[in-house]
Parts: sequence; C-alpha cells; structure tokens
Amino acid sequence: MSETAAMQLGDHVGRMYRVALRIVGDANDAHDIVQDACVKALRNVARFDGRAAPATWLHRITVNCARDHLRARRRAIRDGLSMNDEITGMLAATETMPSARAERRELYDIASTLVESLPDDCRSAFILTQLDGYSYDEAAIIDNQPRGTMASRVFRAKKILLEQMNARIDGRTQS
Amino acid sequence: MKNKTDEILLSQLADGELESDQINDVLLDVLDDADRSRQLAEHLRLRQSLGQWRRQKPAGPVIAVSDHPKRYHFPWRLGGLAVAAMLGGALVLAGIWAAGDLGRNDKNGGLPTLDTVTAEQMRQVASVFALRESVAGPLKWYAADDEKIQLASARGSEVGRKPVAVLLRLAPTGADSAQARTYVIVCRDRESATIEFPQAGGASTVRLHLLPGVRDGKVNIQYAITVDGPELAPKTSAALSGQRLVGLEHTPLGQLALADELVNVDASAWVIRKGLK
Repeated sequence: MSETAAMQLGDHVGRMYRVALRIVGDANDAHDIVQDACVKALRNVARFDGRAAPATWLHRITVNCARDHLRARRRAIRDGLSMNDEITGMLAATETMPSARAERRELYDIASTLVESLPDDCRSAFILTQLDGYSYDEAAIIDNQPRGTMASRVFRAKKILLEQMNARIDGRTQS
Repeated sequence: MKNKTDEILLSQLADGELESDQINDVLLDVLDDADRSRQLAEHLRLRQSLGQWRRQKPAGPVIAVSDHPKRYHFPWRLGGLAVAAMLGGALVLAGIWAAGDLGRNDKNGGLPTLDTVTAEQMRQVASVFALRESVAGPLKWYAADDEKIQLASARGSEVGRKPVAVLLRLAPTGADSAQARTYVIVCRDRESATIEFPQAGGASTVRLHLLPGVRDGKVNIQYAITVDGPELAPKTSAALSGQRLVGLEHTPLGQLALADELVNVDASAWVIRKGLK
C-alpha cells in the first residue's frame, strides 16, 4: 500500500467503525479502536502485499483490534471469542441509536436479536454484507469463499431471519 | 415455478449486487409475478431495516496516522482525537508529498517537485493545521518535516492574524536528489516565526526565520535561512536571507553554499482560508 493509498484510509473508516462498534458496543471505544487499527495498518503497510483488497486487510486488522479491546475488558477468555461476540456490541449499541419509523425500528430490533441464532457460516456472510456493508466480492475475500457461495449464504441467512421475523410478528398479531 | 436460483437473485437484487442488464431482467420477471414481488419486498424491507446501522459513522474525525515520537504533551487524555492530533501531521505530510509530487519516490528519482501547490495539498495543510489547533489551541506557528512536528502557541493579537502556509524546499543540486528536504510551515500574517529543525544522524541543522505579509493574495516573505553543516564534517554553515513575493507556484529564494554542496531553496505560500478543509 503506497503512502497515497494510506491516505485513502479515510474511505474505509466508516466500515471499520461499524465493525468495531458491533463488537464492542460503545461508540467511544469503537472510535479508539479505529484509531488503533489505522496506526497498525500504517505501521505494517510494508507487509501489505496487495493480494487482498485494502478493505479486507483493514477489516482483519479492525477485528483483531476490537477483540484485543474486549479481551482487555474481560476477566476470563474461553477459547478466544465466540462468534456471538461479533454482534454482542451491536445489540448494546442499538440502544443509543436514533429510531426511524416505528415499523422499521421494530424490524431492526428483531433482526439484530435473531442474527445471533443464525448458523455460523451464513451468519458471517450476513454480518459482513448486511451490517458491515461489504460487497459480496469483498466479503468473499474476507471469508475466503467463492462469491457464489457468499451469495448463497447471504440468501440463506435472510431466509431464516425473514421466517423467524414473520413468525414473531404473526405471533404478536394473533395474541 | 420459482426455484432457489431465482430467490438468490432477488436477494442479490435487494443488495445491489447484480449487473445492470441482469437487474432489468429480474425486475421484469418480478413485476409479472405477485409472489416474487412479495419476496423482493421482504428482502428490501430487511435491507432497509438494517440501513441505519450501515450508515453509522464515527462522531468525530478519525485521522490515519503514522508512528511518531511523542515529543509534545497535551493536557488531554491520550486517546481518540488527541492521539490522532499528535500523530496526524506526519502522515498528512506523506500524503501531501505523495499526492502532489512532493514524494520521495516520484519519477524524478526522489527529488520532490514543487511546481505549483494543488488544491488538494492546500486542503490537507488546512486540515492538519485545524486539527492541531483543535487540540492545542490557537497556534502562532506550526512546522513539520519528515521527522518531527513543532508547535508554538499564539497569544494576544497573534490569535486573530491570518494563517499563512509556506512550503519550503531545500534541494541539493547535482545527482543526490534524495537528500532534498521539504518543510511544511503555517505561521501568522505579520508575525515572525523562528523555527529550528535539528536533524538526526548527524545531518545538518536548519534554522528558519520567516515574517510573512499578505499582499494582493500573495505572500511577501522576509526570510533568513541558516544551515549548519553535519556534525562529522568540519564545522560549516551557510545563510540565505531576503524578501520575495511568493504564491502557489514555487519561487526560488536563492542558494545556500554548504562546504562543497550547493542547495537550492524554493518556496510556495498561500493564505489558509476558513472552511478550506
């Protein structure tokens, strides 16, 4: 990554922030994590061999920084962090988010709760594309999967979520 | 009869992941099929419901920084914006150099060129100066080379003077263009700035004395530049002083004769305007 490309870190800051925020759940901590990730990226820019897109390289650095932050915050670690930790922060962070239309807010609350229950493979695909905002191509590189597999997993995650969400909404409607 | 492939296409359509021709085909099919329309609507609503999460951004600026020795301490917690402000100048300099052909690895074999300052370079200098002031308060001057950043606080009437940016380049003549040095300075209109740039590794020390005066959109600079020779060489020094009207195009200020080396001195200058960030 050239110095010029390094300056373009600003293009990736939004997504890095969302990744950090959904893991740690605190806006200030997420801001600090992004700062740390930027520093690490620039310190290691010589090691960036260009095989992966900068977005995917920065994603990995951001996730590692966020996990380091969580580890520092916790007393005990069990086999590293579970996948559920990837969105624990998101659920906490949503409490401070401004709500839009009530219906959209309800859907959002349901979706964010149900994401935890998704199977591991399609949960990762869903988080990367629907929450972090990566394209299918970028998410495929991050998860080391073909694009077609990524598209299939995203669809499967959505289908499961929609079925569960509809069941919840229908259950509330009938009661 | 719908199949899984069709449903996956609807999912991709909702995520904006289809090529334009494919979008047309899928949309035409959807419009003719109530069941598929309903499915697409579900995918779109799900996508929409998570949109506010995807739109989240940091509340404050996040500055990409490079490593830098912490020479200056600010009465702020060393986290977040404070850290970014302390370290930000080095990378901004790198960006200026890379983006504006001031870089060390340009086609001229490493000799920075400074023909005309670009709007992007002006924006970058304004941004880093504003960021520094947001942390350290009003500055009388700001100076950075590729090794360190120095600041001086403004007092009294100095605070209200217009900030003036000066890009100063010292480039040895001859083949060794990699030794050219560029300094980014922001000082105040009609306020003098005296800045010393000690160099690591026994290289020569550069001292600058600048007094800018804004006139008709250009900057009239009174300057005195001295360079002390490297520590390992016999003690030598050179001085250059004068006055020039300097604009965005580089202006030769003169030459410094240091032992057997001749150093060209060029400068560009402009007034930093509010809002140019």
